[in-house]
Amino acid sequence: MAKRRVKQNQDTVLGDAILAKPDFEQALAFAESLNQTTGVPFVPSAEPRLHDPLPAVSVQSAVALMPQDAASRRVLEARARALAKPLSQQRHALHDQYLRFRLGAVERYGIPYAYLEELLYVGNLARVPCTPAFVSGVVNHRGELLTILDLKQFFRMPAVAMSDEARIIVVKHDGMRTGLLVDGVDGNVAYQDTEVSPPLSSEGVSNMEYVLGIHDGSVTLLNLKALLGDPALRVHR
Amino acid sequence: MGRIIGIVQVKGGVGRSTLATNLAAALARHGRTALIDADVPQGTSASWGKLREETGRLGQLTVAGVADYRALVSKARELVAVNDFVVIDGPPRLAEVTRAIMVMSRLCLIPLGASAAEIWATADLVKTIKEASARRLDINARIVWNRFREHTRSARELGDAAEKQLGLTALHSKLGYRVAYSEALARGLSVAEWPDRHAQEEFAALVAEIKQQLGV
Repeated sequence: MAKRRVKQNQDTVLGDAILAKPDFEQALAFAESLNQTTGVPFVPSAEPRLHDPLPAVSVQSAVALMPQDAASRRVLEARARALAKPLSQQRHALHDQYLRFRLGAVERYGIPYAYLEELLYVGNLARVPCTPAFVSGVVNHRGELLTILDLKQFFRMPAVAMSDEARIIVVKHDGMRTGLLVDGVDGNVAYQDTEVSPPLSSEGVSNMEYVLGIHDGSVTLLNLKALLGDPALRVHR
Repeated sequence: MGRIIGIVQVKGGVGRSTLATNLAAALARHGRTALIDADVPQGTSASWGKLREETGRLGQLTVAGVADYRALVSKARELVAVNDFVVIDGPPRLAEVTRAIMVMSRLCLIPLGASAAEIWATADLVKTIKEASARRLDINARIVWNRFREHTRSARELGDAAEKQLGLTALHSKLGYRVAYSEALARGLSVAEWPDRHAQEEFAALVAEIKQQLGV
């Protein structure tokens, strides 16, 4: 008990430095000194330089492959700081929406709003002879002939029977209006470009160049610019 | 000039916001008080403040949220001039914000549950305190035992060992493991406004001890 009393007395007698608080300049300076002294320890300059050949080691760790010199570290640090900002501060984060649709029963895709013109029911689709399999045909769209592409055929996905949910998504790029035949439209999704993860490259995927990224783990965002600009689509030339 | 009370802990879920909101509500009964939520975007304290505002319970309390350490320091500078107490709820990271809070605060409270993971996480805070004192910056830090099961021997032993190992002093008042805290928080209330006599009493004792520490 006596011990406790002494402790309490010590607690209540505050030093001058504590009584002078708050000192905001000190607080700022201490906050900003974070990376000078703590956090990931800096590799001393004795480590190999960026472009020096790496010493022969049997096992290379990821760290060993990273640039080690001071200049590269500074660049990496600046980059890390920029990325470490809260999302609200990342001004380049675009808020956008995409239209989510299905190809086949399960595969979900998205097309950014910037390319969308409208959605159509699948009406009188007229087949066109002597065209590749991925051209489903043409429809009369307000007096204009609209070419309809079957994305499943184009991506070499197995064909499924067309259901009532099938729609034509009219997209426009470079002045060219095209209809995309899809197996169902799920709705709009709001997203930020920071939420889109890069596609995982894997063998046997033929449509990688048309993929902007993966949103929400399962929706493939299509790069319409690459898709519609593909020379394979220009059949009449 | 008001007094700043910072609440820091690098581990999440140890009760920073519980402590911050209840302390702010209690201090607001004694004087003009501001609560700054520096854990944006999570913003538990800010959400609590919003709920409280909607139910007309703010009284002498102001609640603000800040996104980074510069915003925090300028907000604290602004609020400390017009309030008697400024309570700052820190983020669960050893970031610039946490360092700024530690140096600004007249009293820095470190909520801690008697679990090994929380004690390990606190070792990083201790390192920061040592670093500050090497730069002649005094940090007045106290552990606040939270979700403490007084009657279990292991909790008491772990508590004593942790205080010794970390080299930090704890406040004598401890907060128990009670649903009153989470129930009150979710409704924008403080534990003093929640019908749990034990919780009310233990928190009142803690507030009294904190006021004694602040010299008010």
